Amino acid sequence: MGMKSDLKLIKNGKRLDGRKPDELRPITIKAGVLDNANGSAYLEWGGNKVIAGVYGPRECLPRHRSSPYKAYLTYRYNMAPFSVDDRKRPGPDRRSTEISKISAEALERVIEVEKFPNTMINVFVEVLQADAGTRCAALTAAAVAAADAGLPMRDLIVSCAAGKIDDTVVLDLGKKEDNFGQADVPIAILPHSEEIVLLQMDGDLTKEEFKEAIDMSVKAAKQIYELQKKALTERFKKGGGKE
Amino acid sequence: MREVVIPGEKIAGGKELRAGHGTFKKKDGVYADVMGLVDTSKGFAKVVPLNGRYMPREGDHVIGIIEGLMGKGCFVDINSAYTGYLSFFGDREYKIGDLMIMEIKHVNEINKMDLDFAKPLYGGKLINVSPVKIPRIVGRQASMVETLAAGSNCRIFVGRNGRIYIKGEEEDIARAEAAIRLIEREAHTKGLTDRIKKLLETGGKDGNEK
Repeated sequence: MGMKSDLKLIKNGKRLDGRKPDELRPITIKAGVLDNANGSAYLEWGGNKVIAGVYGPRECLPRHRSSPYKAYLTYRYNMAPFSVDDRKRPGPDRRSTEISKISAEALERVIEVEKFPNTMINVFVEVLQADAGTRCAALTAAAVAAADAGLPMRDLIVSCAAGKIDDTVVLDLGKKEDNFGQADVPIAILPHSEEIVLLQMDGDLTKEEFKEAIDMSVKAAKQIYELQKKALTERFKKGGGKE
Repeated sequence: MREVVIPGEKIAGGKELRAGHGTFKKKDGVYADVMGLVDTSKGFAKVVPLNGRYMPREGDHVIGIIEGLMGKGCFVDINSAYTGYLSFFGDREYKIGDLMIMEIKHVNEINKMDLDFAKPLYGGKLINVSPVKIPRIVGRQASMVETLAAGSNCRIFVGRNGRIYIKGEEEDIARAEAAIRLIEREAHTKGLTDRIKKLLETGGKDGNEK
């Protein structure tokens, strides 16, 4: 965002990677990939590679964070040092702390935390390879991992970004579109009620463009939801699974 | 085979079915709460979970490990998010690390629980399975666990919390464990009891026939 460039992002109605404005990058999801976590998921979304693991409910540590009303939910979004072009300095930073906080709040909306007083639920998401839209990919994978862990949930979470490049509203920005585009709107919704649980915006959009971006994301979310559903049901069709 | 549902999926519309375990109700119908297999018998829609941790319930028999002493009782790890409390009666006292089977006497609204009727377990092997598979290992009216015990010549104690304690000769324990692992892998398939009987007769050699 904000970088000046002469790069044309849309040529003859097609984007740099040949997609139409409302087309998603290819997505593959696999549930139950880790043996030691209670639930897990692996997701590839274009060039993004994300792995999520869920533990819990388990004994709340540190004790002072426990609540007699609900489970304490932690979410850690972390980027691997090799996930980006330049080496990313390992450890939490301003950006990942923010993403972790808003994603935890989104996930707390669907997981029935009030059923597990005085406990904690830990969600860990590692970004192995980043290619724009990692917070959406991470949250989408985390929702699958939480369902895989057998946690009671009101709904899954589906997350997808929309944005503006070359004065056109487009879905699911790629790396260059993100860097040289005009706006980026990551959004997470509950696929059944279409309730919004995460919404951020970088750049500028008019009111009409913003509405168009949201409509686009909601439509795309339904497609991604089908993939999540397939990943979860297929895990048990082969017979058994881990453990 | 019964259908697999994921959280938030609609199971039944209108008022035809009541909301059972693993479901919640909205105005327009009953929805799945957890990932699992749908069961719509007896007027209730319920979901049998495919994964998940043990949640304490009154009257359950669980196998616990003593992990701390306090006053006239001790804290017991029961393979759950919550620890249990067991009071000592008379002069009977236990040490940290002792293994025993006991009953959950009382659970309150924040899942604090009192345990009772503790019976120590010695000289066998403890194995862990997923707690959601326990009903299948026990079977209808304990039919499966009786088959296991008779076929392997072992004594088997099953805790609802996913812990199973097997007592017997070493080879017999190995046979029983192989059978339990088979049940765990193929809990949702039909004709399991017959396969278990066959496996126990042949000595656990061809447990992975399918």
